[in-house]
Amino acid sequence: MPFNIQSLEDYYSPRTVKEACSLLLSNQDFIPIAGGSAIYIFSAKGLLQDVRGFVSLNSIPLNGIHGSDAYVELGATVTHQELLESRLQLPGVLREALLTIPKEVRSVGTVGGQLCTCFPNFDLNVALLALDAEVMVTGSDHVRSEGIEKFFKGVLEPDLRRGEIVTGIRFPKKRDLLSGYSKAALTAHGFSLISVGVALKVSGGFFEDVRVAVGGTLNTSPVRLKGVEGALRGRAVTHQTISEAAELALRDGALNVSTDFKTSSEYKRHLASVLIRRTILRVVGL
Amino acid sequence: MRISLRVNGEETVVDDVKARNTLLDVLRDKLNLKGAKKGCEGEGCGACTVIVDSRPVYSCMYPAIAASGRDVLTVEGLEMGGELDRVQKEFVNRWAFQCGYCTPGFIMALEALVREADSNPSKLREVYGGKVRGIVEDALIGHICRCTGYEPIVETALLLLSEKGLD
Repeated sequence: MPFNIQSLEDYYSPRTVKEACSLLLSNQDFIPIAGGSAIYIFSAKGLLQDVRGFVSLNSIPLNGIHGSDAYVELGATVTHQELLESRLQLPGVLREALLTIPKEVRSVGTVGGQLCTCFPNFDLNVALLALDAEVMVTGSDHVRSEGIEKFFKGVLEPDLRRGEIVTGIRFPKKRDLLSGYSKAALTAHGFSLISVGVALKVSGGFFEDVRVAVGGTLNTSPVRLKGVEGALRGRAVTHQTISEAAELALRDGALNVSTDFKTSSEYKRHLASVLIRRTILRVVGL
Repeated sequence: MRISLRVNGEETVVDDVKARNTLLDVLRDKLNLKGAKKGCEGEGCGACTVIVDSRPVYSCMYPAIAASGRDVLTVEGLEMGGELDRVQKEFVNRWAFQCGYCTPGFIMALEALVREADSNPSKLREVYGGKVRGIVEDALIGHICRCTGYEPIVETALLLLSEKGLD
């Protein structure tokens, strides 16, 4: 067999969130899936050996896309392609991130599915982090929401307790938000070495409300570079401010990266710094 | 588990499908449809691409059971009465393949694009801001040709779109 998930036998399609939660609560070795595409990547890497069953969430109506004046709300099983084709005016960072993903993955992969992997290479995670998203979670007897930064506990480690599932995600709709996404990879559609999502506002020639998210081949989930953000906030929008802030990404500790067979850690830091500078220059129109 | 689905227009029942099986496993090993290829198993080479409910998907990353009740189209389902279809003919005319391993994937990606252009051309224009080359690159970005014969494939795609009024 091609994959080492020999123990995987069961496949459930619950009709309600409650039913899904109770299946997951009573079976420790079941995992929820939506599109299911990431499963095969992780199992090929030997990360899912103990899984005995899938609980498919696609049979539950969790695929709504809603926009109000204050928020955009996406159901967990909205696919990347549905989001791209929706009537919503998508923030640049989200639209650009979606277009770096092959159509074949966009057809199947879901907003909630990729989120729950907490995977730093998944482009939408970086975009949603830049957009200050909030994750909506339901358990068998409770509902809660949590900021995306806290939700990303670690790679393949969402902040979910047993029996909880993500039902949706929402992010604030900000007027005059400038945002963009950039990615460096070895092939046009490959997993990112480094990717950068920025979302910011400019008022009277000064930066405000800056968020800089970095993903790629990190040792962690996607992260915000708060040092870079701090060096921009309240400062004049100039080439110099932007270059100086972007250089802070080179500092030890800004990014937790290692050397691997594709790239050295120094090169990843360098890419992060360059992509941050270029993306900010682009979104502010310099 | 037993699943039933439509494959190339025919109602098909497949027995003994495991949760771990992919749609590609079922197509190749149970239905003997060898057009879709196993290339990279998850990194994105595109050789396994088929169409599920009008959308292109990587069948090596698609749980077989999730295809239950759906409409699956593979490269084998394109010819009609022994005749190649429009996309296939254009591939032959332009010599848009060399070793051929990636070809079924590229063809299915273009089949999906042609269907999209038929069903919703205004959405295509809107998503890509009217840039036809952008539409083509996005449709083909998830495919690798190791013989590097991309140009004739891109030309084929541009021609097919221009026939649909997109140029």
